[in-house]
Amino acid sequence: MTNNKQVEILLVEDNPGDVRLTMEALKEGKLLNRVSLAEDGVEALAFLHQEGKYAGRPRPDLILLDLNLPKKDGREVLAEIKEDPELRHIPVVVLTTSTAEHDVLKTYDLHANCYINKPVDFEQFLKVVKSVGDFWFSVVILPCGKTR
Amino acid sequence: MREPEKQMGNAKPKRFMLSSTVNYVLHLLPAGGSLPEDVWRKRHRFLLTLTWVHVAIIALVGLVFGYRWDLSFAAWFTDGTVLHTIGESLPVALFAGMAAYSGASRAFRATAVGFGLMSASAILVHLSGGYIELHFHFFVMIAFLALYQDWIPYLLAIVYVAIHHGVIGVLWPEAVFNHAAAFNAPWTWAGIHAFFVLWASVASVIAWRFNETAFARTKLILESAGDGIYGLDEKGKVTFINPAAIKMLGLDGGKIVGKPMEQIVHHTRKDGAAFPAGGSPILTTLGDGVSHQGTEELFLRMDCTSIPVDYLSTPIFERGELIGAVVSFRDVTERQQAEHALADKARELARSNTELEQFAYVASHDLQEPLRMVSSYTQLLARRYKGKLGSDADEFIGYAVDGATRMQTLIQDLLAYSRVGTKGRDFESTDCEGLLDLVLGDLKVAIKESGAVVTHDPLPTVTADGTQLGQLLQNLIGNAIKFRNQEPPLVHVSSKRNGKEWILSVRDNGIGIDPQYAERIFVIFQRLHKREEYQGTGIGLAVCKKIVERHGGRIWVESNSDKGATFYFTLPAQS
Repeated sequence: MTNNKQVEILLVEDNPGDVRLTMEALKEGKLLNRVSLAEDGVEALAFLHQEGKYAGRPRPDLILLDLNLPKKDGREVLAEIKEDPELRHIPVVVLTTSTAEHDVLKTYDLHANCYINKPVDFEQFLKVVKSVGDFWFSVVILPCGKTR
Repeated sequence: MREPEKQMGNAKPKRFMLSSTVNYVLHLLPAGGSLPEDVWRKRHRFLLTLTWVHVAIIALVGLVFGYRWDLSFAAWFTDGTVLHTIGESLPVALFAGMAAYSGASRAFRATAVGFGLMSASAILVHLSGGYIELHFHFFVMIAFLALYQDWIPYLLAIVYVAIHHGVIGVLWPEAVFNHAAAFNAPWTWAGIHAFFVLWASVASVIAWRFNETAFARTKLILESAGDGIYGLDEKGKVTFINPAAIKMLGLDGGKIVGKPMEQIVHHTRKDGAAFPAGGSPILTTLGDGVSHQGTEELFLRMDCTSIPVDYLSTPIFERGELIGAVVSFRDVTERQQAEHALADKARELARSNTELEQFAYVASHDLQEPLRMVSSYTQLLARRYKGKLGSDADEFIGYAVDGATRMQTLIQDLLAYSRVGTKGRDFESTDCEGLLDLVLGDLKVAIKESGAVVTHDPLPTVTADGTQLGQLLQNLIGNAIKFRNQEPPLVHVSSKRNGKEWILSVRDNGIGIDPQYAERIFVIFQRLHKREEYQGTGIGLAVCKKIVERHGGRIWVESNSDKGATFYFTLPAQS
């Protein structure tokens, strides 16, 4: 995988402030990518299963998942992804403000690939997003999705 | 009005002396009414029997000693005949008959017995032919009369002896006296006889008084005791009961003594459940001869209400034999109510504390979300537009970023503070020395930068939340390094055993604390210095205090400005 390949990212986040902030951080991180947005858990799963209006959309290379979501929360979404043989290879980075221990343990139990606390400081957030990008797209060798 | 007052004033000392002397003498004299009716009756029955025995003995003297059978009228008055001795028994029988009359007062009946016994003595002296040894009989009878605990029979007995000896001494001197001096002056010698009888009486009265005083004191103690006290015999029947017990049990005070205990008080367990038949621990004492006590068990009163009581049932032994028990009890209604009220308050307080902690936790946790937006976007603004919007905008953005950052620190501190209560771990055996090593590892950078030297005495193993105890030590040592003078900090951690607790201390050579602020520094967000001088939100010591209090200890500081400070805290020692 090369650095100038377009990377498909699915951002599952309901708070527009956070959506924009993540976008800005990805932009400043100069990661070549295309970000799709799902605003709740149901939408996220529809996107991943390419159902309805999402028919024909590509499978993402990385999922950035917020835990507290309307309709279906992040934990359920994570569980469904990891149970689905088609989807389970996609790395999921859980992004949340919750540092509660049981949340962390629960998400690792559900095979989250990484758990990241959203920093209050933008500079730090920038670093985090950049390092996530670097890690998943430069360091780790991902299995090639069936779609590609 | 003035005149009598004046007179009274003059007469007072004299009258006082006279009345007090009279009072004193009267006080010394036994009053016949002091004996309980049943006791008096028992004693009277005994003394009356004794009198009848004398009637029989005197009447039988003639038969036993083989006196003359002479049935003439003159024989009644002739010594040495059977009829005479029978006749001599009649006056004693008369007195005994009077004493047996139950309609008469106690004093009358007791006096009749006294006359009967005195007469019996005089007659026995007479029948013996005036043997001096038979006089001893008087004194034995006088001693018996003491059983009445009354002065009237004594007084009348003395008068009786004086008059009887005087009259008989004049009529038939040989009948009562046996020497010439008495034959010539019967009244003088009657007086002498009465005088000795008087002193025998006085001696009896004195002996009885001592007895009664001791008895009265015991009674006074029983009657004025606030606790209910009652006695039981070996069969569980009430032998005495004090007024406090009567009042607490709602009894009418009538016939209680002699009843089985179950009839005056029904004793149940704390929850109102009955003991198995005869299984009340109070009655168990009568079986096993061991003290039994109970707390907050119930005594059912006569009016069917019940009172919670603490009681103690103590066995009584006489010559090694169990003869009963004394039960003392106390109504603990008020104590119980106070305890319940206190427990309610404590529960309420604990609940409100928990709620407050939950609130602080949730509030500070949820506050982070919007704060993240504020601080992130002001930072984004600063990145993108610094130097493009003019110097005012840069300054404003600077303050906004600074404010958001500070608020973030405050919220995190508040979270840390509330976590002491909500996220504490269980207490475990924790080695303070090992913990200190870990803490010093965490503080490595601060220690190196400041050139601090941290020393310590041997430290104990305590029961604590290790994480929190570590945080406590870290905060205290961190402070000791932070608030330093020009010279490198010297920090010393030591411990001392104080009874059931350990006192640990952290001493430094820093800037110290003005004693007037010794309390204030432990209050959350209280600071003594400007932010530019020493960093911090004022949370560290508040967290320390909360940790120590969660462990059931205390924390305080001893210090003078410029002379360093020593922080002390206590932890319960392991049992």
